[in-house]
Amino acid sequence: MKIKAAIVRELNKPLAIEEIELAPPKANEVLVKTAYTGFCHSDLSMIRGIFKMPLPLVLGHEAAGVVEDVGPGVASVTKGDHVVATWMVACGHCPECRKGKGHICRTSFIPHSVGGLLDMTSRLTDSKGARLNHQTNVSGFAEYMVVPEAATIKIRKDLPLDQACFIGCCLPTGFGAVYNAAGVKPGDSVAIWGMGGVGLNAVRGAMLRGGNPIIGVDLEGSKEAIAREFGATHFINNSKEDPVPIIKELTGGGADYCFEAIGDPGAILQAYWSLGMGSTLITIGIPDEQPLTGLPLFYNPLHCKSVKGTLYGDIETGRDIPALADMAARGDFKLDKLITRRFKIEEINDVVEAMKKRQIIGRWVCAWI
Amino acid sequence: MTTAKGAVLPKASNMGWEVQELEWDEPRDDEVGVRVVACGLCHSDWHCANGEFPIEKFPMLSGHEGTGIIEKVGKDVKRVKVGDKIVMSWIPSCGHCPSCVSGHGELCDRFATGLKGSRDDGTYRIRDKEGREVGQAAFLGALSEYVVIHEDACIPVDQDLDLLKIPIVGCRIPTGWGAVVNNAKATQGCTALVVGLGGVGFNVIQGLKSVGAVVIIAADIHDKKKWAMEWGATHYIDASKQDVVNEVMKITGIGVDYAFDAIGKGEVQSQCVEACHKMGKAVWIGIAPFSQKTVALNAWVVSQFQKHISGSCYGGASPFEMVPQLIKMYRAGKIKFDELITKYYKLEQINEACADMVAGKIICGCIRMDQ
Repeated sequence: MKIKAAIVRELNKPLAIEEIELAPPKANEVLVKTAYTGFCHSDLSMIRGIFKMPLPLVLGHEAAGVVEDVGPGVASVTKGDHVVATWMVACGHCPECRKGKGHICRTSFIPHSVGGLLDMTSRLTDSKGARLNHQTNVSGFAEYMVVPEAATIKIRKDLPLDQACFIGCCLPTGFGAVYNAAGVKPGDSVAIWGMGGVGLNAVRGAMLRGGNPIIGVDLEGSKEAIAREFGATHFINNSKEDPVPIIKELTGGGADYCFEAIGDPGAILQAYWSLGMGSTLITIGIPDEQPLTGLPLFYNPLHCKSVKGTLYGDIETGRDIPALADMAARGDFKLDKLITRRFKIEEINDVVEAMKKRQIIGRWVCAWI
Repeated sequence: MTTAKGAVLPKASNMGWEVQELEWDEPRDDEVGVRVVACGLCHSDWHCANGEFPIEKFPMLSGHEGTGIIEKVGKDVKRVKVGDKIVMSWIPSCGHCPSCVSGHGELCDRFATGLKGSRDDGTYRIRDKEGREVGQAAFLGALSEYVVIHEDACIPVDQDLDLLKIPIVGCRIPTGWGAVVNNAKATQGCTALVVGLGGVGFNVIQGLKSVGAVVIIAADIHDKKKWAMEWGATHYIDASKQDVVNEVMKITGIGVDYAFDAIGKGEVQSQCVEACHKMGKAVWIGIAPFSQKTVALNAWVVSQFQKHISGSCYGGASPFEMVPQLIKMYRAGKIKFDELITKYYKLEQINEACADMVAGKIICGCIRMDQ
């Protein structure tokens, strides 16, 4: 079928909006009519080549929609089901999966790296018949998606799909960093760098978990109101003030947990210096591949500090996405407040520019319906 | 269709097993045919025979601790090929249910049909001479010359291993060792009690040695002192004559950090809770009779001394994680497998093997299929 999609053809160039061909789902694959797709900072990193993906790439990994058709053997969803497309398909049998760490399933990274679905082939071709690559099973900036069944997670129908798309990435990534990777307990002090889609969900997670204080940090003062709306008790504009002494003062010596939700070396350093003794820095944001050597690791043993990475909030998609949808439907995450603009696919390059300039407050979603 | 001899329980009784010729379906697309090399006989097999284990389907082919060589593969099988040596897992962990994704393949939802010994869809792979469907104990039925099992029950192992020596790693080694490492999470320098010195109990001792326990008190009603001390116990209690809790208090002064029930009797479960020091952990491994619904506990000390009680099944972690790890340790000489098997039997000697086990004459008995 012919569909409209946004494609990265060359790094650091505007995305191409093209009419492309989507092949029907094979066995154990699902055709989904895309409803909404969130624009994530990782999408920008892929356009910039910081996050390396095989080109040409149909962009997008945070999408929700409605099942249109299913391939042979599909049992878990049927036409009309509301689904979240997930970019992680845990195989269930590799060493990571056996330990309950399906979020870093080693098998799943192989199709990611070649831009195919689970059998490594693509369902996407351009008007000249050339292969286009999938972005991590999803390729959500497209009118329709063909997604592996295991990446098509059925959710309740009363959760609006513009909110549901966030359960594909920024919600579990931020919330899970707090709940799973850190294990924040009531009363723990928390500071979070980057008040974007992921950071705001980390703020919300800390609020739901009973963290106190919850300090939001961002280079843009314009993000203070939304940070407070999501549960930040304090906000620091780190383009104007050094957050380290302020956080040490607010927390009585340093935060129990610092979260870095940008992937910025400077923010990672600030977050490390803001840790209290025996505390942990959780890095969520994906920096470029250059090693960061400025961390004062002298204090790591001396003050028992830790640095820990987390991917996808350490969730297991099949188990956790429906549960997150239940919480979202109850209003726990204020996802309606996270959506600050609905855009058409033709406007996506304006969205890219706005993100480069740090002008996006909340999350902007591409509306297909 | 493949015909093979196997040890069948016609019903729950004290009559034991009958060795019968059975007819096996060909493997389905996701199944394999396995030439069995050896299979351990475990107390759980006896519990299935005597009715303490709530088996839902008779006749049943016993055996859940087997090794073998892949002889046939269905067309969708990916994880093993013909000729591969395997240890069988008695839970074919699916990899995708809530337990599996939490790293607990040992509690996989597939066990739903485990007591019937059928496939997931309720069908059976075996017929006896009268044409009756026969269940496979724990999806395996490895007390047999040949089995058809799901691909997900196969744990491939190194081709140079002697399959006659390692079947116990299919159940009792991870069950005992894992109870210490995964359920108790016992640590260097700890003190511990283990009650019940069968195959599981000796592997609790091996686990305690792995973590660096300093006091290992072993207790049994049979005279197993010599074995216990050889395997690494520091103290022995003759539970047929002495009060276990009193003896533990005499040895430790305050109780142990961890106490392991490797029997499955309410009285022993209760002793394990009593024998723990403050914040101590009683780990219940032994499978109590299904009819036992209560355990008498001194509830006051449980709350006031913050005691913990933990169940333990198959060592508290996925067998697909633990079995390869244990085999690496075996090869490195850090854990003993061979010495666990103190006697080999022929399939026809199955009832004799069981009698020796119940009488406490052996550590582990093993049925070899090549004789």
